[in-house]
Amino acid sequence: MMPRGRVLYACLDLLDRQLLDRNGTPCGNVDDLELDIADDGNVYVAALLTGPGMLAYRLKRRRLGGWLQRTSHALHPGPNGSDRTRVAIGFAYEIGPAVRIAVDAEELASHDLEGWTREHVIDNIPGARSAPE
Amino acid sequence: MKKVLGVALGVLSAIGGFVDMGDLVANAESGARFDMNLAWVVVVGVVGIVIYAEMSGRVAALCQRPTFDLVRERLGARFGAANLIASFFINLMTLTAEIAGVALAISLATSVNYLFLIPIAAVLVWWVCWRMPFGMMEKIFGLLGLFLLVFAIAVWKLGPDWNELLSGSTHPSVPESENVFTYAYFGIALFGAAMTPYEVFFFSSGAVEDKWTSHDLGENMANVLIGFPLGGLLSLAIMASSHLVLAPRDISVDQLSQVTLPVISATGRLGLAAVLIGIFAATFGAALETALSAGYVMAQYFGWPWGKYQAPRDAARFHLVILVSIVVCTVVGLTAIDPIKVTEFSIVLSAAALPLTYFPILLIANDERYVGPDHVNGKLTNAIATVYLVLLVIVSLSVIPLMIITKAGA
Repeated sequence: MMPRGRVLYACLDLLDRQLLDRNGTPCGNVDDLELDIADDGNVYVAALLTGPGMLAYRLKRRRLGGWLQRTSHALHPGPNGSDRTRVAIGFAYEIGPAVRIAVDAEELASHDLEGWTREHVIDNIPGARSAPE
Repeated sequence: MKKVLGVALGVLSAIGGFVDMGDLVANAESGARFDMNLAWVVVVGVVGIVIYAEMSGRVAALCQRPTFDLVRERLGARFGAANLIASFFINLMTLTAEIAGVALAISLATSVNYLFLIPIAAVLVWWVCWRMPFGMMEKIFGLLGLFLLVFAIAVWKLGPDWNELLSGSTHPSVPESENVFTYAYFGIALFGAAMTPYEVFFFSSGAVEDKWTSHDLGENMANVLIGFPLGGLLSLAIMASSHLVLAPRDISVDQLSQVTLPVISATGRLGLAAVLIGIFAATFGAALETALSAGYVMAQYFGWPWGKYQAPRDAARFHLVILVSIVVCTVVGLTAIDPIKVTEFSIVLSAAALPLTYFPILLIANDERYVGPDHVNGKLTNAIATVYLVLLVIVSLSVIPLMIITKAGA
């Protein structure tokens, strides 16, 4: 039997919240939630979902969302083929105005486009590497 | 000195909002066609933006998140998406006009055709977004924009009948040559210009870029109480100078160069130099605001890293959005589309989208979880802000019908 956890209004307190990685870097929003129904009938949040297509899927753009998810997973699957859009709830160590998770932004699918843009566009422009002085 | 320059963010936000390309023309046109009968609208607009900018600055200082960032989580992904699409589209239209405005300002000084100058203006705007520190940007363009105070000097030098000016402002009526619909349309345009959404996006994101904390609430108050009324003053000075110089000669304003006529007639070459510097700075400042806002709203909705304060490679998608926006707007500008028409259109559309922007600000500024129990809105603030929200809804619903009825103010 699962222990009772914090009780939240999931839509208000969790959904669409900014995610910050362990270094404080923004790494997307909580696009969707993976819910689990325990034997006692309580609903638990099993994981936070974020990444390409997750929001679209939730907003009923199923085909677009599904396509984005599959493409993103095909281009960059996680270690052992795991899902890089899924952050198990155990990784969330602070739930407040932002949700802080104990991962690095690079581990998440939501950060893929940032890396690509950085490597292929931004780094090629002079002055990209230093903060404005 | 640092304290004085500390209001630079407010001044720049105001200048980019109140006296950008479209507003320079709208204010001058209002003065030429309606004399001072629309002055009260500017005052109403200033009060509105002061109240709401203070709220958004307070929220940004207390939880280090700009207001647009909070729209998605507080009002839902769908509402946020609607807001994003509307704001982004309006930003792009305005950016097109502002880049053209910078080119026009340079062209007025150099007599080079402005179309050749558009790419140069675009590159300059981009370079400032890319490399200039946020604080330096605020101070330079905020201070240079104050050269527009030459309009106030021009009004004073023209030696007007102050009683007449005052009575025209405080007893507004629709002039005989106009009808109530064009009066309302211009009124809405001026009101929309005072409360343009990107002013608050820029102001609250700027507060985070400037790293305001709970200790900076006083600075927030100073910024809004000095910056935005100053913007309103500039608006009124332009309106008054047009009323005094252009109206008696039946000159109506549809080009940027005509806006400068009152200043030239009152103060000569020195005034012309000042007004050109001021127009350059104001349009450049507005271009910066809209370009950065394009990046801010996109990055904040999707949760990407954002901000000018860090190295561009650490906010790659943010800077890409800014770069692409500037390129797209430059290309559109090069089609020789009339920048005045583009801004008129964008003023109207942003008036229609006003409630989308300001309703979330009011909600969030009342939410303890973001501002803490000690800093939620007081009852008076809420009362006034709610009245304004109702006003915004009325404005938003009536602007498109009015645009159709008056054929965009013709």
